[in-house]
Parts: sequence; structure tokens; C-alpha cells
Amino acid sequence: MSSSANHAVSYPRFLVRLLSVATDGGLQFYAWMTFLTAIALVGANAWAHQVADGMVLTHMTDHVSWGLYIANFTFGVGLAAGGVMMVIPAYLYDDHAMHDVVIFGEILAIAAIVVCIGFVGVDIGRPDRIWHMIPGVGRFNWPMSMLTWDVLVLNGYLVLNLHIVGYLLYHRFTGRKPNKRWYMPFVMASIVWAISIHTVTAFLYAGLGGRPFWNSALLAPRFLASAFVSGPAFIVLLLLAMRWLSDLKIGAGPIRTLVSILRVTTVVNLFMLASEVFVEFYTGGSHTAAAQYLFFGLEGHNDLVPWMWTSIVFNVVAAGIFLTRKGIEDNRFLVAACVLTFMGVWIEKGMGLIIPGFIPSTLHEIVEYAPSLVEWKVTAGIWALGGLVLTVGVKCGVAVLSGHERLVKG
Amino acid sequence: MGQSTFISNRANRVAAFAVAIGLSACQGGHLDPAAGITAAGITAAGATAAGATAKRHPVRYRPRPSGVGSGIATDLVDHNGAPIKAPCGSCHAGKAPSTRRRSGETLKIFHSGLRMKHGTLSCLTCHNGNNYDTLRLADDTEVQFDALMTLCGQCHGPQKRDYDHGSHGGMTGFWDLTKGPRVRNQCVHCHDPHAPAYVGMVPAAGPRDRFLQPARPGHGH
Amino acid sequence: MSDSADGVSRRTLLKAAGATLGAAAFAQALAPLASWAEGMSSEDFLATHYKELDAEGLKTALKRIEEDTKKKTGVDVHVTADAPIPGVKFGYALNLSICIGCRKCAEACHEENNHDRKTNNSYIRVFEMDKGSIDFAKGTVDYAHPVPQPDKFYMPVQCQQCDNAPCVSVCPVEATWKEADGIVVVDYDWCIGCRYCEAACPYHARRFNWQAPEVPAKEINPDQGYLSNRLRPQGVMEKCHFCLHRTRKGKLPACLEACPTGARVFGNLLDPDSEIRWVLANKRVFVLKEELGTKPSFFYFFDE
Repeated sequence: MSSSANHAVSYPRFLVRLLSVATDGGLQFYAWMTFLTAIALVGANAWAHQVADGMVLTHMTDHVSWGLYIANFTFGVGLAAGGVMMVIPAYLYDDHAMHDVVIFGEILAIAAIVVCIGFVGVDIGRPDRIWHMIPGVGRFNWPMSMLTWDVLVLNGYLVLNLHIVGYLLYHRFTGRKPNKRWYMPFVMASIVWAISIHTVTAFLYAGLGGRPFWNSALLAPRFLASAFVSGPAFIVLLLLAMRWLSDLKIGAGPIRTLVSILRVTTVVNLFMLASEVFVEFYTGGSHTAAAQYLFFGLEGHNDLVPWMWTSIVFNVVAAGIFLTRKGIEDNRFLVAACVLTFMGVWIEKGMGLIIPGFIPSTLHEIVEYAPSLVEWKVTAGIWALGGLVLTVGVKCGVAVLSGHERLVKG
Repeated sequence: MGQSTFISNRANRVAAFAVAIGLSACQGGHLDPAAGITAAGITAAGATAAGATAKRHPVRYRPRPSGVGSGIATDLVDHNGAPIKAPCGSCHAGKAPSTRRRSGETLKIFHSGLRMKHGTLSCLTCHNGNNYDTLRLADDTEVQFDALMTLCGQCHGPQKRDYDHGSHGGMTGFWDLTKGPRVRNQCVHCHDPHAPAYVGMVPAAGPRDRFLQPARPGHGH
Repeated sequence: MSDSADGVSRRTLLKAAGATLGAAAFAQALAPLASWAEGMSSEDFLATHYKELDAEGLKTALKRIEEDTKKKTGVDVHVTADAPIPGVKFGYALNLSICIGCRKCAEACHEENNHDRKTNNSYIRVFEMDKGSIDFAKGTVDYAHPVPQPDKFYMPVQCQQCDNAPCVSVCPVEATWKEADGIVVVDYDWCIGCRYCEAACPYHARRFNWQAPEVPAKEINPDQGYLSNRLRPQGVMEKCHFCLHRTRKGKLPACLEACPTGARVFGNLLDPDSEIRWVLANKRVFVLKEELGTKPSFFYFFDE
């Protein structure tokens, strides 16, 4: 077999075709890409100013030393982990209708990881020294620092998903049957890995004894529950959008499966939240102060209260919709529920999780935090970058899976 | 943070430890009044790897504030504008000591503003009626003003003990006496001997962090 | 694709133009980075970790800092890198019975350690609390009335130099570590500014340089240490270092010298005859947040 020679020709062709697909489209596509690029530009400019003039341009302080960036990072990790939730029914339960959807779950995971790395990157005070983290060259404090674990699992997850998506798409492109040996172990690994990225991220906070709001064994399970809400909810929206915008019509089956997942995970997520709330408030004492701040305000400081109740209302309403028949049968209800719970988790897992860790401070001082304009710009820019990656990825995926892009045998 | 931290095992252990070795470490503050300025610390502060045998630098008293034990200000000033002081004996030598006087407030000239707020002490509890330029200890021993730490320590034993162990009274210089000397405040640097209760002060400026809200309502202001 | 050859080439041309425009726009957006990179030398960028500097490298590094400071501020400073003294582990104890909350310690720290003037930064925060319990939730740091108030007590908090320091464990690049004499230090040339240590510290002891600290040239303390009070760059973490540029030369820390009441006791925990050991043995001592297991080298005590 001259398969290696074949690959040497067909793989570059595959990449060139993908590049062409990624940059080709109608007016709508160009408008969308220009829009995202413009936002990313605004973000890049804001970040450059932040690096040059210092992080004093953010509204973070020594009291609230992590803010909007790390909040979005945390949510992004959940989204990335949740993106792979489709893999479980597809491969563990051998649901063939899900196989194509899995590709999009993993493309979402790739985009989400890019977003996560972006948020960690902009949160660093000295990006010029990032090489200090490279094992061997710098001093990588592994295994002591949970942040080094996070660097490893996030990058590993990115590579894993790039491999699976690339491998499956390439084989579909060449018309070959993918060799199970070359993707099944990675698919199984990605399931475990998806859980690990969110567990490690939860441990990053949960291991800090000085921050009682985070110092809870339930944090990692809660992270997973919420990841398995936000990920599938986003995929449902993505699949509906693809139905509307592309030639690849994913059937009702996968969406029904995703809603079945959401029916459970939204309720489990709320249940865990309720468990935490019970322990916090029934026990009382000074460790309740952060939860008090989050839900009801503390000593007249209540910036987060409206956000948190909005999140709870969104999540409860969404859980309710998912449990009714309309949640499956009526797309308007389905879309509403997915949007609500996605937003709900964004608040809960983002600002609602990070900020109360710092308010009150470890010495019970109360310094509130609201992101600065620079932070909002940078945040929007990074999400726009994620949007660009996702759009390109989905476009390539659709082109290959729908059979538009095939290796023409000469 | 709650009260519980107090009643911790550590505190108990430390307490037990304290009883065990107790004041055995305390060998008495040997102050040599004749030397005037002398080492006050009784603990061998600063023994390092250099060895306990290394030469130690002295612990000295910071000079007394000018108002204490140097006579009484007159209306005259020197060429620097500082009041010229007359030795106590220049007036008191020819006067019988007043054993019952407890305050200077009713005096017409000299000591007239002197407010006495120091328990039930009278002037002659500490001042020596036989020679006002010196002080007297409780056993009537005449001592110089340099010995005032000993004088105060007669009643304020716990404070003197803490002072001798470096846990009361300000200091500057070296923690490691093999490397350099130390200078220590005396009682009178902070406590007016006639009204020793600490008078208080305006604190240095507080933090000016961004977004630090004013003090909690009902506190601080 | 059914475009004619002409269509394809026009489309390719448009794409190329779009890509060029996009790249130019990004370059423009990132322009502020140019001025930032200008102020940074390649030695700054490639600085070696403190622990990896040999004697020669350390000498070069100290000289570089002195020259940099001269160039930027016009001030001649002397930067040293004293090693821990063998047989010494530093401990600090604070007498809550006689602390009057005057903030002289915080002020001395501010001046000694070349802190940013605008924020009045200091490694010490003094809490005024109601007598009756140690309840930080009822404490204030920005009191301005005369002290001490009769119904209050005062508790200065600074780095506790923990033996089991959470800030050290979490640092992803080993930019902060515990020295042999117990002092937890930061290598300002190695820290990446992720602020994980600041989140991990239970004592609010760490400070981040949200921007380069500003100290008027005539107020700069020229007696500086590599791991302590030299002028810090923007975007890195800093913290109390027990004035190691002083204490490793045998001197008392600046905060202790400034304390008018003698509430502060500093010394060698390994020396059984030291004042700090006398305090631990004879006073009612406690550590802050003992339940966290951080094992502080900073103690609080009361007179009976």
C-alpha cells in the first residue's frame, strides 16, 4: 500500500480545501465574520492598552483580585467540557444518529478552550513572561500548583479534540472508513478528559482554605452539573441554527437526546445549588457572609444580588420548560429554555462564583467589584475570537459531513 | 475568625509550656544605677550560629526626654531659645519637704501646671526629700534619675518584666546583638510619670485603596 | 465550485485583500504594545530565576537593577542579596494588649519598602475592632480618630510567613517560595502576575502592582534588597518580607522600630534565649486562623 504517499498528497489538499471553505461564503457569512473580527479588534486594542498601562485599567483590586476574565474562563471550561457530553450517548450507548453531532460538540469544545486560554492569557500581569511556565525552559510548579494541572488538562483537551475532529473529518473527506483504533481510544479519553478539565478547574478554587465560599467538596460536582447544562444547551442552539443556515439537516433525534440530558442536568444543577444554600444559611456564622452577599447583599453592598436572582429565575424557568412536552415539541420554547439556562449558568458559574469568593475579603473587608469598560471590551473580544473559531470549525464540519467537500479521485 | 481560635490546642500547649519552664528564663533585670546607661535586656537576644560566645553589642537606653530629671525650667532661655533649667536643689535645699502634697496644681510658682494622676502617690513617694536632684526607692535608697526604670519597676512589676524581655517599650537597632547595638525607650518616653495613663495620638494615614468604601456605618468615625 | 476561472481569481484577490486589511487592523489595534516593549530590555525579558543565579550572575543582576534604577529615577541605590543566616528562623509576635492602632508600623513599611505613594500602600493593615471578640466583620481599617479609643482594640495584620504557605503551593512558576529563615519571598523578575497566590492567601497579605509603583526620587529608600524593597515592576506580586535587607544584617524590621509602644517582638525562633521565645513560653499566644493549618511564624499575644 502506498497509503503514506496518498496522505502526503491528500492531507495538504484537505487543509487547502478547508481553508477555502473557511473563507468562502455569502454576504451573510462575510458580514458575520467582519462583525466578529471588529469586536475582536476592539478587544485586542483594549488588551494592548491594559498590558502597556497596567491592570489598573481593570477594576480588579487587591481585595477582588480576579474578576470578569476568570469568571468567563470558568464558564468557558464548563462549555468546553459540556461540548463533549454528546460523546457519551454517541459512543457509550452507540447512538449512531449522534455521531455527526459529536463532531460539532468537539468543535465547540475547541472554540471554548481557545476562549479559556484567551481569558487566562489576558488575566496575566506579565504576558511577556509566559515562557516561565514552559516545563524544562521555565519552572513549572507541577504537581503542587493546581494552575499547572489546569494548563496541562486544557492544552491536552485541545489537542485531543483537534485530533478527533481532524481525523474524522479527514477520513470523511477522503471517503475512507476511519480506523477505530485511531479515534476510539481518543474519544474515550476525551470523555474522561472533559470531566477532568472541569474537575481540575473546580479544585483550583476548592483547594483554597482561606476562601470558605469556594472551599466546598461540592464545587467540582456542581461545576460538572452546570457544564452539562451550558454545553448541551449551546449545542441545541447550534444545531437549530445549522438547520436554518446550512445544508446539513441534523434530525430531531439528537436534539431529543440533548433535551433528555438537559432535563436531568438542569434539575441536578439546581439541586446542588440548593444543597449549598442550605448548608450556608442553616449553619450560619461568618463563613455565610459571601453567600449572604451574593443572594441578599451584605451591609448595604448588593451589586451581585439582582444578577444572582436573575440567574436562579432563568435556570428554574428553563428547567420547567425542559420538563414539559413543549420543551421538545415547540422550537420556540426549546430555544427560549436553552438561551435562558445558558445565560443563567453564565451568571452563576461566572461572576456568581468568582466574585463572592473575594467578598468579603479574607479579613472581612467589603470592596465591591464591577468590571471596567476595558474588561468588557477584552471579554467581548475573546468571545468574538471564540465565535470566529466556532464559525470556521462548524463551516468546515458542515462542508465535509454534508458531502460538499470530497477528495475527487483522480 | 471567631473566639474559638483563642481556646485552641496551641494556646493550651503554650500555657503548659509556660508553666513548665516558667520564669526560669527570667533571671532578673540587672540594672546598674551607677553605670547610668546600661544594658537592660536580660535575655540573650541574638544568639546565632556565630555562637553565644560572640561579642555582644550593648543595649542602651534612649536618652530621657529633656523634661525629665534635669531640673526645672526658668523664664530664661539660652542662645538656642531653649529654657535654661535650674537644679531642683537651688530652691528645695532651703525648704522643708512637704510630705503631704499630692499635686502641683495649687502651687503659685513652679510646678503650677503639674497635674498629678498617678494612683495615691505623693511627690515624695518617688522624689527624694533630702536631695531633690535625685530620686528615692521604696526602701529609701537614694538613686539618680538614670535609675527611673528601677523606680517604676518597683510597682509595675509585670510591665518591667515584659520590658526586660523585649515585649514592652519601643526599640531601635539590632535584633542580633552580635551584629550591632540596640537602643530602648524608657518608661517616661511614653508615660508621663505624674500622669502615666497613655494619652493617645492621631494615627498615621490609613490605606487609600481604590474602591475602598468608607468605614462601616456606626464604626470608625 | 462552479465559478469561472475569472470568478475564482477575483474572489481570491478579494480574500487576499481582506486578509491584508485584517492583519493591518490587528497590528494597529496592538500598537500600544510597541511602547510597552520599548521600555523592556532583553535582560528583563530573559531574566533568570533567583535560585538559578550563580554568584557571578547575581552580581550582574544586582548591578543591572542599580543601573536601571539610576536610569529611570536618577537615584543611586545599593541593592543587596543577603542569604538567610544559618541557624536563624525568624518569628514575629505582636502584643494586642499594648498596640494602640497608631499605624506607625504601616507608615514605616510604606517608607522603608518604596511603596506606591498614591495608594499609600503598605504590607500592614491595622484593624480597629470592638472589644469583646476578634470579629473582623465588625472591624475597620480606615479609622481617622485619635487612638486608642477606649472601647476598641487594634490588630495589625501582615504576612504571617506561614510554614505551610498556601501562596507558595499555588504559584504555577515557583516565583514565590519559603527561604531557609522562614521568609516567604517573591522574585519580581520571575512572577507572571496570575494572582493565584493572592487568592490563596488567607491573610490578605499579598499586593499586586496594578501599575508601576510611583515614588518621588527624593523619597526612594536607597538601601534595597533583591527579594525585598527594590522598586517593583508593573504587573507582579509583592508582599511583606520581614525587611530581609535589614533583618539578615541583624537589624530590626522597620515596622518594629517605628512601633512606639513596643507591641512588636522580633527574633530568632531557634534561639531559646531570644525575646520571641520568651513570649511564646510565657504569654497567652495564638495564631490567626489556626484552623487552616497554615502554621504562621507570626504570633499574637496578650498581657495577662
